[in-house]
Amino acid sequence: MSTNDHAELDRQLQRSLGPDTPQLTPSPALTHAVMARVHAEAEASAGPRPLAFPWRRALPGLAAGCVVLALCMAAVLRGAAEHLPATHVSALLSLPSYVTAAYSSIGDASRLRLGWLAIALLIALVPLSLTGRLIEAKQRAIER
Amino acid sequence: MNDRAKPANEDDEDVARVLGGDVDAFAGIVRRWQGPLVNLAFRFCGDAGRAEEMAQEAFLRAYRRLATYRGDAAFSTWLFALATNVYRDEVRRVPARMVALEDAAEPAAPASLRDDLCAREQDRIVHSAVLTLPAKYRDAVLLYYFQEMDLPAAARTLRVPEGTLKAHLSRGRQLLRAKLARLRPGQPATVESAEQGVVG
Repeated sequence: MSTNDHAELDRQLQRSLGPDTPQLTPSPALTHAVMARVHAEAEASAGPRPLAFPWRRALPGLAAGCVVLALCMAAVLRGAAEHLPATHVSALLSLPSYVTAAYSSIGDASRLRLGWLAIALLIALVPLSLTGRLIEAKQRAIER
Repeated sequence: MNDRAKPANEDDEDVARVLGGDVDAFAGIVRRWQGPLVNLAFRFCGDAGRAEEMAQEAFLRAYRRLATYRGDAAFSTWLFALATNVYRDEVRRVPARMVALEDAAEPAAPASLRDDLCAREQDRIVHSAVLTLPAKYRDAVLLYYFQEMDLPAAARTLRVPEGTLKAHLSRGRQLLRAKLARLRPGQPATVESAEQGVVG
């Protein structure tokens, strides 16, 4: 094969495949179509926006929880005061691990009215779970 | 190609803005490169409508992988390499629709090859022949001629050593001659007859 032949084939290929022939002009909608997909991609990759904690809705629940917790603690202390000797009570109040001390000192759980304690804890959990459900419902609504 | 003469810093600026969270800055990249990318896609598939769809895919992948552009090479090199991968995958998935070389209209007389219409027909035939080459030779021929016979640029785009690209080009041309020779019934598919068939 001669150099001329090689050059002729090169010329032919360049004419067929070169950057300028045939020069297709992209449709005017191409940029718009690409950007629409890019925006969709950007939104999808960003994910759902983090939800702000609903303090206003949660506040009554949290306050109620605190009250119930305080009542529970008061009930525990009252029970302990009724059933334990005064020395044990003072020791109970001074110790940071008072629950362990109360259990080990009292021995008899029924005397602390654990049934009432359990009910009180359940009542405290209700507002917390309600708050959680409210957040989940709001999140689902946003995702939809 | 005029589009490639755009200042590189425009691309770099837009890339930095997009990575900084300004998604709309990507429109500048699309506007500057849609012509070259659509035309490169057309070289791979031979269909103008499909070329736009393929270019869209290439732009979308470019957006997704923009963070991998480090700026150590020209943005165009990075973009063409990425687009070439997209187009290669696309034509592997759905092969290019081509006119069978045997069915292509043969020019009535050698003199008429000078006519624009005949020249365009010749171009189309050559293009179809290139698309029938095995992928590695096809890619080498398409990129080399699309990038104005710039061997280093084509090698960078294809991410192969220049020597490998040269070998692929040589083999690709050889196969092409044999394919194009079939345009002339009654003539053996030799290199010489193929060249006559192509050049007229």
